Amino acid sequence: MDPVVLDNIPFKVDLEQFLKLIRVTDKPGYAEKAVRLVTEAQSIARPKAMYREAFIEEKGDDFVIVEGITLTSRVLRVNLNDAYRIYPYIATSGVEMEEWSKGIEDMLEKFWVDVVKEMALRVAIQTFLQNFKESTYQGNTSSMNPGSLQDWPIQEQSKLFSILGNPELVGVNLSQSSLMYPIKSVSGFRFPTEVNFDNCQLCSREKCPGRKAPYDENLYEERFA
Amino acid sequence: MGDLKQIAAAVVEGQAALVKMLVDEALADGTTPSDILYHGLIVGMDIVSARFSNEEFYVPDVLISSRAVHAGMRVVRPLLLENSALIEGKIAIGTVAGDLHDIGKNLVIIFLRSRGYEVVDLGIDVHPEEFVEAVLLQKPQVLGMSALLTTTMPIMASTVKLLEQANIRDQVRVIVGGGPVTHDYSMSIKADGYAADARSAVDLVNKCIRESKEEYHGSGCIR
Repeated sequence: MDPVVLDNIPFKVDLEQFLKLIRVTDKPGYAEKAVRLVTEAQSIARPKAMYREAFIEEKGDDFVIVEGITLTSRVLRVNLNDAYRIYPYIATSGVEMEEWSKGIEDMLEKFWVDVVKEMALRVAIQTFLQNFKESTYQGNTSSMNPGSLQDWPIQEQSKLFSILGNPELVGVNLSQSSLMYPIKSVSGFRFPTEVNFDNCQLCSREKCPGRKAPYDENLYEERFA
Repeated sequence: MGDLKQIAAAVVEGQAALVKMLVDEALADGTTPSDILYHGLIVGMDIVSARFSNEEFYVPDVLISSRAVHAGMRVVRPLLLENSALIEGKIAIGTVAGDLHDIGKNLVIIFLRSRGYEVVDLGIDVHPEEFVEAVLLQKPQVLGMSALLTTTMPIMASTVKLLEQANIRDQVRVIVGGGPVTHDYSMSIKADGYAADARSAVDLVNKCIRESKEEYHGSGCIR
């Protein structure tokens, strides 16, 4: 399957939601300034996403081989028990806004732009999920991301990029430490499963603002040991 | 004598223009720049810091108050430097390699700048070599490292070792912080200090800077 590239994603900031998030509704002057910045950011922003279908060739105790590339993770391996295909993906707020925002020095304005980037990323993710569901796989899927768990270190990110093929199509690159640029990007593999899985179920970090599922302290022993 | 309480309140409310006006008035009334800084601007920012710790304030509130402090600082800083009334200090700070979390680091920067310190923001994903280079080039009194992942904490240890290898470990105080970092961990990697949050990071830097000045004059040292 050729990669699906979504590079024409409409993006419009919900100004009311934005102003609430940045807490300037009762601060004279700030709202107008923020709206001006958002309007400019919005005209530059090009959120994007891409994904493709890849086939699993072999499974070991703690690895799977996908199109000749070995992914080493016990959790991933168990999650792929009943799967024979996997969908690497990337969604990003877009390099255009990242480059533009390099010129912003003021920390408050940087924060505002960060909020816009986060919104653009959410739109890219939603667009990817919708396109994926409508045109590629209608069944139940879950996702895993290299670097989200000790079991699957971030260094495996480069393998995801290799399987995906050409991430430059959406302008995403890896740093020496395997972090993605633009920073507001997410990557992972979606895989067919009847048992819902979220990385957060295996992560005990308290007060995490990004938590999507409660920590289950027995889950690793029960399902993955 | 200007109303220092009013300056502090305007800082808390994030009213930059009002802070500047009140600072100008206070100076015209004969209030010393030092009193304006330590009993007006910093008092205001301390209230902001406490409210942030109590989750009454959020990041954007802190940023807006910080702008208000800077509106006042721009007026008093040159006067303070003229009278040697400002404790000068330079801090270089970054999030370690492999880690892109920067909210905590940025808050520390905001609070430090509000104290009048010069802060060099090294950004995120900073490698040990880059920290060492910053110490060599920027010559800060304090080097701060932040990590939010257990997997990236060892970069802090590598940096301390690299500073030793470069024979510049004694030239800088190394402080560490971030979600999984602990006091014990900071001791184990031979850092000079650990801060659990942005507020205590400022106290720690104050201590480090004070002690580095004392050391300069021949007494005590943090290590």
